[in-house]
Amino acid sequence: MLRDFWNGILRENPVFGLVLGLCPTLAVTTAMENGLWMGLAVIFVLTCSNALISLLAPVIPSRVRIPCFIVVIATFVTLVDMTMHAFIPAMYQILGIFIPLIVVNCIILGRAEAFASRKPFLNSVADGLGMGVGFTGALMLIGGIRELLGTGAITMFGHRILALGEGYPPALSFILPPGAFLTMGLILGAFNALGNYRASRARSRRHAFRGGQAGRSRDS
Amino acid sequence: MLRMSLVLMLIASVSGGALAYAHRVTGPAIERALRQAKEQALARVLPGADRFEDRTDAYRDHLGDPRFAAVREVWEGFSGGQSRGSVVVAAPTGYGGPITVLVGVTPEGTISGVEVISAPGETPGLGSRVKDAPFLEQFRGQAGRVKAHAISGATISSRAVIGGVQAALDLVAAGRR
Repeated sequence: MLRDFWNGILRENPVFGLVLGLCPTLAVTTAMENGLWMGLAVIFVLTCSNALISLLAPVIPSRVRIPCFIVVIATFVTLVDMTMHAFIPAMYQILGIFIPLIVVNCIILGRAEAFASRKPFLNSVADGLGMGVGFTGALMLIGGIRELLGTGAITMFGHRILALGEGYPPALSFILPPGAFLTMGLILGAFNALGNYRASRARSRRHAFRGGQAGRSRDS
Repeated sequence: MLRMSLVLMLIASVSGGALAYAHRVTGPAIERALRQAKEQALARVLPGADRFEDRTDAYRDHLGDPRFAAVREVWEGFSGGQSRGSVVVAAPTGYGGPITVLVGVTPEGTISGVEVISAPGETPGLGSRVKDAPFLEQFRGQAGRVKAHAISGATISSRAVIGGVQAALDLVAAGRR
């Protein structure tokens, strides 16, 4: 069960591993704090919907499962929407339409269909939490880089927590769409390169272990 | 077949019930948040006033004039029983949509403060800078014909706000005549 949790954070990170939910990722990450709140909303929706769907799936006829999943997901999203509007209206204004758009975020329906509907309750909850935390981490990473390079500082909850100093001329394009794509693409490339490197290390270790032709690696 | 319909109906009903309940619980809080944000914004542009009354209807005749097309609401601010001036809510069209501007006007006809409370369609880092103090400070104390430096690279957003402020000033002047 713990492995289901960690899976969503690293190996199958929704943004960098599964490459899902890119639209809100690119749009919302103009600042690290925005990424945090969006991520928290997704953690709530993903965990609750995974939990409920995992419980309900056995009784839902297969042919209406998608509408049923969507209703469940949309309900949780609307709850989050109302709650954010009531209690953190400033952030609600900033995130705007992307909160209701969580309903069509591929990650949520994707996990419901691929995991929660066929796995036990606790595993589904762990998966939801892990995927949500992984998504939040990805958003904060991208948002942090974009905000730092695009405005020269990172501000969280009203406090400036990191600044590049007066001499840095902010690169405006980082908080605009081109910066979003660039940042995301470069981090995705880095993740893939890391994954490839670790895979080839594992392969050469296996070759060496098998004892045979040491030093002969076909695909590195 | 029947089972599919029943399951869907059941899930939808429970969902509807849960949302109706949540709406009832969060409704007052949302109303309060909206009203509070509005009142705080009104007070920020007309310092000295702590109570506001909606006077939009009194300006109904003027609002047909194309010069005032951007104006949405007019509020009068009071402190004690005395009028401290008016606040005009205008929504001129900016680069990518309406920009909601609050303009405070003293009884003498000068601008006491301008605030942009929403400009979602303006380019972040460029047009969105019409929300910032350096741009808005320019309007304070002005009367008659409004003059201001536009933001480089954000001509349309700047002009929209300046136009909105001018319309607000003109409307209040027309109303007082």
